Amino acid sequence: MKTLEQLLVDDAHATMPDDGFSARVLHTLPRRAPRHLPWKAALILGSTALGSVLAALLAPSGTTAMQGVLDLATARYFTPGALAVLGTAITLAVAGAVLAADE
Amino acid sequence: MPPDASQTDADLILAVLERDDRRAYGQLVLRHQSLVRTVLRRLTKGDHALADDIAQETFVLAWRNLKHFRFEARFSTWLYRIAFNAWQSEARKKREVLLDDPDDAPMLEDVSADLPDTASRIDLERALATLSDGERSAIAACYYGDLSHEEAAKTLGIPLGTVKTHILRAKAKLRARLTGAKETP
Repeated sequence: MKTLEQLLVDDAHATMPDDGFSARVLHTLPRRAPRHLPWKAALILGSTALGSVLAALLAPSGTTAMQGVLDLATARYFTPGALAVLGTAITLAVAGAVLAADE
Repeated sequence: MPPDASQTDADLILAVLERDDRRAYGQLVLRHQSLVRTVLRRLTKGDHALADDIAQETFVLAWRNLKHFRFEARFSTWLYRIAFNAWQSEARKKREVLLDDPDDAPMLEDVSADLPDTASRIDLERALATLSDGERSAIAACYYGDLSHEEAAKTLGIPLGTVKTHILRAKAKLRARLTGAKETP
């Protein structure tokens, strides 16, 4: 005589023949995404930094990053320098977020 | 290809993560396919083809997300959770899945006597198919997924008290079904 508990436990632990199931699973496994590589981070952050440098060089004359930081510190958010610094910071943050999400 | 008992699940998982070792993953599938397919057959009310499709999806999802596996939990428990979620998503495409469903049916008499010798796994499969989604899910989590009531409540997303009620009701219904007992008014 069996109790319900025994019947449930036996059913849960009964061995089911594989019948090719594992092989089918292995056949359908997707290629693993390449692991995070340092060069990828360097590429994203490097191109972001290059873009920032170019933006600073091509900015209207008299606009410097330091001036932008000083503008932000004095709550002048809409000067060309402040906007350039904000844009650079946002771009770097987005690049970092992309890398973090990828990881 | 018989499972290699000398390697633990953790060894095989590390081999997959470090060397992208598909053979090691094959060992994990071979080792756990029986439990995953059995529990899915019970959850799908005996639809073996659907259960195997969801089991396949479960192992593919596990492969994709293996890097998120935390070694504090057993691999089988982690797999069970993926399988349960995959079943729930599949079931919801066709109908609403009610895990927290209040059952107004009278509580069946708790037949504590042993089951007749003739009660088989096939009878159990049929009896499980007559339970509500919530009752079947609770039984699957606690007996097939080997989760505690607290873990089952967390996995199913329902209160602990509801899990306990589902288990009690389910066991009473199963006993009644398997012994042919009558409902009490």
